[in-house]
Amino acid sequence: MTTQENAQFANSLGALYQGIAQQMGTFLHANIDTMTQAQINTLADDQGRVLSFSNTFLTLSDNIAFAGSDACFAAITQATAEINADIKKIDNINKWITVAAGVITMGAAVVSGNLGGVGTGLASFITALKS
Amino acid sequence: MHYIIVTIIRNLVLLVAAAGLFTSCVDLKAVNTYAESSQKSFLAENVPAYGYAAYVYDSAYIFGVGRFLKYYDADSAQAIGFDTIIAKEYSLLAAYFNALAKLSGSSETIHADTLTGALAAGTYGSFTITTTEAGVATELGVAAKFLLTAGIRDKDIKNNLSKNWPAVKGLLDTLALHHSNLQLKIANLQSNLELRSDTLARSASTAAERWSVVYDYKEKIRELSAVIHKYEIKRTMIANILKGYQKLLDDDSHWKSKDLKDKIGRLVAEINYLSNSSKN
Repeated sequence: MTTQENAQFANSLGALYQGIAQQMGTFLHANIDTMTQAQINTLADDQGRVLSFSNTFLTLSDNIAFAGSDACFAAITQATAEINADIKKIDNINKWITVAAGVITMGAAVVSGNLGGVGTGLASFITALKS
Repeated sequence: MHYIIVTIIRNLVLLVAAAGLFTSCVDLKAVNTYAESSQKSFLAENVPAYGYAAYVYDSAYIFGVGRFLKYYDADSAQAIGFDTIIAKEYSLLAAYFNALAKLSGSSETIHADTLTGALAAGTYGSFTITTTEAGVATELGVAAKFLLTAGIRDKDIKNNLSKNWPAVKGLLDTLALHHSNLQLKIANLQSNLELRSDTLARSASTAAERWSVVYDYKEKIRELSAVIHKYEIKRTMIANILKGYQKLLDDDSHWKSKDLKDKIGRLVAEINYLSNSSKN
């Protein structure tokens, strides 16, 4: 991949995570009156981590330096459409917590260059999305 | 005497015929209106007012935590550097399109001084200008200078457009990417602001406390939404400028076909509208 493609890829990852964080926020905003304090804390912490990954990817994009993007690009591109289509349908807190865990695992794997972890994270949250 | 008058008349006829021949070969009006509207889109007044420095200031308190005010202070030194880079990209593009407008018929004065101090490769905090990016910017600066000097004698605009396409596209793509990155970061600010406000309002012990959280949340969300909207407009404007350039390059009618003129006319109208809408 060229440097421009790398930067574009990091930007699209940042956008993906931004979209997920926004949906988590929309869910929390709509259901905060019926959630327990423990559930709010868990979801809020997870959303904070997802936002942090999004910012990391966007900063990487400005840096135009992104190692290993070739390998995870295909896997993530394939999953992105699926995620965008299904994420708005998540209607309960337990499913959100499972999806968030997978998203965070994937983000950590991409940032640390552990490409095996990308697949693990993807598989767990796509299963949760479909359930 | 009679011979001199005949010669003068003959020369005048030849001159008019030559001018007519030239103008009938190519129609520069489409290029000129396109270049003028593109140039206006990148003038200093269009450089985003809410840039990286404003973002750093806001993110320090929207993402920050701590008991004392000092924990919410921001160091904007790097961010000011990023904003300078963005301003230089605007300046270079304005200079290039200004030169193109001049070459294709505009009579406005051109300020070549905007071309000095083009981007240099290097790391500016967490913002990196690669040698490729710097090269593209330098090429564009050189192209604009060429159009302003030797280019005036070389009226082969199509050849110039074609030669400069990689540099123009490279810089426009980079600028659009920088804008997209910042726009998404501002959207993240909004998400975190909503998250904090939601949880603070829920745990507020008095109605007055809760109202204070709600008021601040609503005011800031509105401000950030307006900034995001302006970035969206700027990115559409850049995409249209790229589209216009591509259409001029792809045309094989010497820019005389009605279809091309209509398409460029629509793009120019849209670019002008977007450019005015995104002004600070």
